[in-house]
Amino acid sequence: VLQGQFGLAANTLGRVLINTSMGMGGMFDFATQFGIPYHSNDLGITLATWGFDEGPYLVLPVLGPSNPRDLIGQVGDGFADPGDYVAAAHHRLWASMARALASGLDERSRNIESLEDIERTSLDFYATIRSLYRQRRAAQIRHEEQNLPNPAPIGASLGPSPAMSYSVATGAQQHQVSAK
Amino acid sequence: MRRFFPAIGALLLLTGLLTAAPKEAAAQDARAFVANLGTQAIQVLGPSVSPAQRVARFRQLFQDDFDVPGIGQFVLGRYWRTASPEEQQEFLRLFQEYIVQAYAARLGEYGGEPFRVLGSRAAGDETVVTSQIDRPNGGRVVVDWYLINRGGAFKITDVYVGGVSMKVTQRDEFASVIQRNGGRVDALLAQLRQRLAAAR
Repeated sequence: VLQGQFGLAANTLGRVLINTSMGMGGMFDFATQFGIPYHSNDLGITLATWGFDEGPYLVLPVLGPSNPRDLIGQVGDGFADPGDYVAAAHHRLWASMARALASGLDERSRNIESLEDIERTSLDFYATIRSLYRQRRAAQIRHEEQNLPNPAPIGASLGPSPAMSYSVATGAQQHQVSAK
Repeated sequence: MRRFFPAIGALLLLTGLLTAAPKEAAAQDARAFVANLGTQAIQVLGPSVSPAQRVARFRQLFQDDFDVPGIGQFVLGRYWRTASPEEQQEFLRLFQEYIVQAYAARLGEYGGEPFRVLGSRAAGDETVVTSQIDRPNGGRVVVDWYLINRGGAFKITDVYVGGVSMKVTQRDEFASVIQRNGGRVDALLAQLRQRLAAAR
């Protein structure tokens, strides 16, 4: 609503209503079954559309890579994404990074191998991930502003529900552990 | 007087076509260049190729088709100017080998899936060719190729994978290494040397 994208907002509202009433507070994604598509969007993008600069990049061990603008967005989003709560019980840093990257760097299953590859071949893994994350975020926001579909909508590439993206994130952790 | 207008109109149209034609031809050439690169990549880098062979072939491809000095200068960013001419030369040499090693490994996963050129657009003096790779699992990866015409031959200046610039990613990584070492370019050179020695 705050972004002035009324069509999407009505859609999101419809999803929230359907998911809160039928999906046990959003844990199950019935809205997609009703044919209402999932928009990968959050308050971080809202703030960017308003012209907030992304500011210095932060890494919060609990929240994963973020910057002040997206952090405000994440806190504001709060209850919107139950997957976040599930992921919080695990290593949030890896889950968030993997989710951020899984949402489009390389789309679907090959992400995890790609992450390992980058870890093995880069001089500074952390700086590389940070750069990829920032660019992904910028590309996502650019697409929102032009009212284009996301370059890689999470809903389309990873399955519709937050629970799906969580399972991918867990896969990443298992991969990380087994790689050691 | 009035009957001159159609003639002028025709003349304007003709000059318009004449100036548009080379542009369209260039765009077509750019798309053909990328399509050819895709075919070539499938042949030379496929999963059946041994790792050593893949490195050698990718090195050749990188030298022939990429603007290595331009990319190298870009990825060193503001540190290019603080580096001595000797350091610049050594950096270009190490950088090329580092990219070859890193990407030959990453491209080893590329199983030769269908590679399609979707279209092209002008971006300043560069041409951007958009392509799409279809993954076996139904996913898609959009890859944008930035090309510059150097004396009649196209050279790749950057590759965007899913909206992420490989050139910018590399610059950010190198800048981080230099910054952690008090802004010293020679620290980056040492790390690159060490990494390449370990890869051998």
